[in-house]
Amino acid sequence: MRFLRLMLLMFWPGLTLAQPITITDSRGPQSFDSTPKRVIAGNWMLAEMLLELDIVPVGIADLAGYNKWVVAPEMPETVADIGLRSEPNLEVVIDLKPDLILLSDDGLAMAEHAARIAPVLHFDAYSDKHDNIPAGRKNFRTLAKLFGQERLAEAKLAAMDARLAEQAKTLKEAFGDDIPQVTLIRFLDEKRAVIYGENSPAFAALSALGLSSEIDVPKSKWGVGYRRVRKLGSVTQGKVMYFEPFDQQEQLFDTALWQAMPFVQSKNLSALPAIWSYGGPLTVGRVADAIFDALIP
Amino acid sequence: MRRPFPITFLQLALLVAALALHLVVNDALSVRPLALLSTPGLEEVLFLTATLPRITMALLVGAAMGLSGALLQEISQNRLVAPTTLGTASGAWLAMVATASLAPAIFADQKFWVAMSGAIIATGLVLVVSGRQQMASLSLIIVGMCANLVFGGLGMALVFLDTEATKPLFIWYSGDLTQTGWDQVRWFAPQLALAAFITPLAARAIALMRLGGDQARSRGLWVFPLIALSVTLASWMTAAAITCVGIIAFVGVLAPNMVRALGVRGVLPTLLLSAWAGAICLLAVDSLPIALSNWSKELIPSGSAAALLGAPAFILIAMHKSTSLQIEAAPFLPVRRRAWKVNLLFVLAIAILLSCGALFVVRTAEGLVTDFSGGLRFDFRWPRVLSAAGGGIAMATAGTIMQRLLRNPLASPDIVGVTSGATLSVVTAVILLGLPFSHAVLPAAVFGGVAVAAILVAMNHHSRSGPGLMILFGLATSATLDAVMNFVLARGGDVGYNLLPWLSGTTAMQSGSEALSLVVIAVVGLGLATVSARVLDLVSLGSHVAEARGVSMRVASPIFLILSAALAAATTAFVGPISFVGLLAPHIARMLGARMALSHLLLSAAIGALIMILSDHLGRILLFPQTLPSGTIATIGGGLFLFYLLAKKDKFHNRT
Repeated sequence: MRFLRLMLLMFWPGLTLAQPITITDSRGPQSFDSTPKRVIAGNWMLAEMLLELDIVPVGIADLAGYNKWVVAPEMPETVADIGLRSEPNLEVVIDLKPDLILLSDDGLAMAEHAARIAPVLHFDAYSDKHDNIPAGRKNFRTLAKLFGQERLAEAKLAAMDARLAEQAKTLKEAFGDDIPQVTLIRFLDEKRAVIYGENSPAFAALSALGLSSEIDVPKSKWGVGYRRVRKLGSVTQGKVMYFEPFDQQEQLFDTALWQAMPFVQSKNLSALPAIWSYGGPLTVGRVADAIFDALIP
Repeated sequence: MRRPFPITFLQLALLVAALALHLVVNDALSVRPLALLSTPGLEEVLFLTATLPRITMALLVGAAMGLSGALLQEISQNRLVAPTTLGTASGAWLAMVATASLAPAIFADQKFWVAMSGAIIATGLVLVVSGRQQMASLSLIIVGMCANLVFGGLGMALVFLDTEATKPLFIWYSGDLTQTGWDQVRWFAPQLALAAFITPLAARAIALMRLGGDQARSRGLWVFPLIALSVTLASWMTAAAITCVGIIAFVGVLAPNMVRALGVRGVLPTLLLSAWAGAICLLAVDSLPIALSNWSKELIPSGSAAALLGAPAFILIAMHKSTSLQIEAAPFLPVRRRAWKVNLLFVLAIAILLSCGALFVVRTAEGLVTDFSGGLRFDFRWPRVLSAAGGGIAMATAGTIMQRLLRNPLASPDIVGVTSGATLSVVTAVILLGLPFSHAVLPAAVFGGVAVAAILVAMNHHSRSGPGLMILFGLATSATLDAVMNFVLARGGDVGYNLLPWLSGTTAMQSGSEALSLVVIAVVGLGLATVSARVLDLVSLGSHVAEARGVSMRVASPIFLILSAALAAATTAFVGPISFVGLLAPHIARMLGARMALSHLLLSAAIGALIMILSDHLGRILLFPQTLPSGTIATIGGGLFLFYLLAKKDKFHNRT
């Protein structure tokens, strides 16, 4: 009989619900009596991670901005806007009657206020003091545990890892030892660009595919460096890929300076679709897919 | 021009030196001269299409800024005027940010016309508001500074609402001379050439302006058309320069002063040599950001470097020339003979009414509703309202003390640089030293504010120039703050953005205890000031009168300055830099009949609280569900009201 009860406890999830769920966020262990149902995401990365876990938040910060800059995964129309990421409207948050408020990084400044409305989880996601990629995976798993979506999370991470490994293998087979270096950039305007380096999901995608960047960017919080376009001249052998959109394209691409760039002359420049490059752990897979498609048409 | 040869020689030598410096930092030495013509490699192409255009652009933009600075200075007979001190540049910037975020299509196609309209409207506004009588005086500079604050505040609100779209604009706002070809030079050069061609034609007419507007008019000069023409020319050059490379501060104000320091006197030589001096200055200064960018691997904008180098130079010129600037000592609006006590009750009643509104009227998805439910929603609301009131009282008290002490109706902690100093100190502590904001903000702000006050006290002792110099010092401090902030924000994706809400003056994340602390500080400050109201009365009659009645100015003035600075710095620490409240509240108090220090202090404190409570409430309901920082609302509203007051005062002058 005791054995049967033990078996029931282990295999019947309904019975284990009574057990409080304890997870660890950036501030220490946090206990939840039940799985939160009404969740608020304090920024776009958290909103994206929730959607990847099949959880629809009740409200997110800067909804219009999410639809403009992040786009995928698509935000359902039921989600409410709670105001700006830097200064959310706390009264709107109260009206949404949340049972969990998710914050990350600089959102810590709001944690004290938010905790009076509902339990708060705060994650360290982007920081120059740790490696963003493993930290992102850890945060994703922590969230999954809270929502009982561990299986989904593991499946998504494993699928991404498998696809990355497969893509890396295909590239290796296709290029052999001549695998090109790829420098990933995003144009700020027609004169300046952001170059992705260590600690950014975009750079992690490169590494996972067995590629490397020709321009060295020191490790930083977001893993990016701002450079003038002429500095791209140091990409002599490899390829350059830029994320769309680039509105001032015509003003740069027609110039003699741009035409003299080694990677332009050797036709080693390609565009990548618009991807929000400061998202959760699955961003790595999205960027890798884009790079892979650009390398192997 | 008395000594044409040495000046020409000096300029040529400087040009060669600046050119050489630029080429060295740009790695131009690795260029193979022969390959330039035959088979240019990448190095050679970069030299031809990036380095050379950049040098040319630096020279052209420098010349444009120098020429427009000289033009505006001649026309106003005010040596501290320039496109960046008259609101010309910030007007263009605001117009561009607004179109970039609201109508991106227009922005992409019509950048120049957007910048141009912004520049002309802003400059025109500043000149109209300050009034033709005041062109030669410091008030023009102060109005220009207020314009910079208002336009900057509006621009910041837009940045706040759409950070991702406006991020790239920051580099351009900081002024960056980077070129990727000759297109912009080809576009800019003819515009400058045309402006440079028209200017000498007007030189003889402009020369008459040196006699003063009335004299010039009596000799048959069409003063107004001449001013309009000069302003258009200067705005045109500025807008064109801004369209290409963004805002380059200080070159415009410094170049003409350098030329004068070299002994140039005539109008035409001053104009032309200022263009030369501007060109050389900007070229020389531009080597610094390139060298720094190469060394630090960060992108350092040219404008930030120019501002960092320019600010101290500006103070030096101000110290030298400030005696020649008239400073109006009288309040610019007549004191109405009304019972201030009645008005105080009246203001308090409105303030209480507005507080009730701020506390109980909220905007929800359904619109404006009253909400007496209390609970958590109320717990978040009252600290906001309370800290807004506290900040308003503190800034108003600080402003009243300063206006009485400096006997200048346009003095206030934000104008003399106390607020900027406090902000700069916090930014430095948090971003450059990496200290945690929550712990560093109060000590850093107080340190910065009091440090500026100490410098002001020292200046006051050192020279007899008084308030004028202080205000110019404040202008330089806030320009330095701007330069540092833009540099920090231009680096992008960094801690700088976390400071944006605080920098705009927000009451959003105040806890109850913080709000109470601020109110206590404000009330204690107000109390101290009211206790010493009699001394303040004597002080505002002038130092001679005060000394004669037994007040030691050597003791009193530092104490009042420090008290005022401490109040402003504490407010900055709690709710961020708040502009205009310290300037406006004491004014409105005077208009409502406050004559003696006691009534002045009490009335302006009530008005300050009223302004801030209203700003906080508007910030919460205007753009629901977004909330705008109360400081931004106060800056915009206060600035516009100040413009209105100043414009009205001009009419008053004309009538009498």
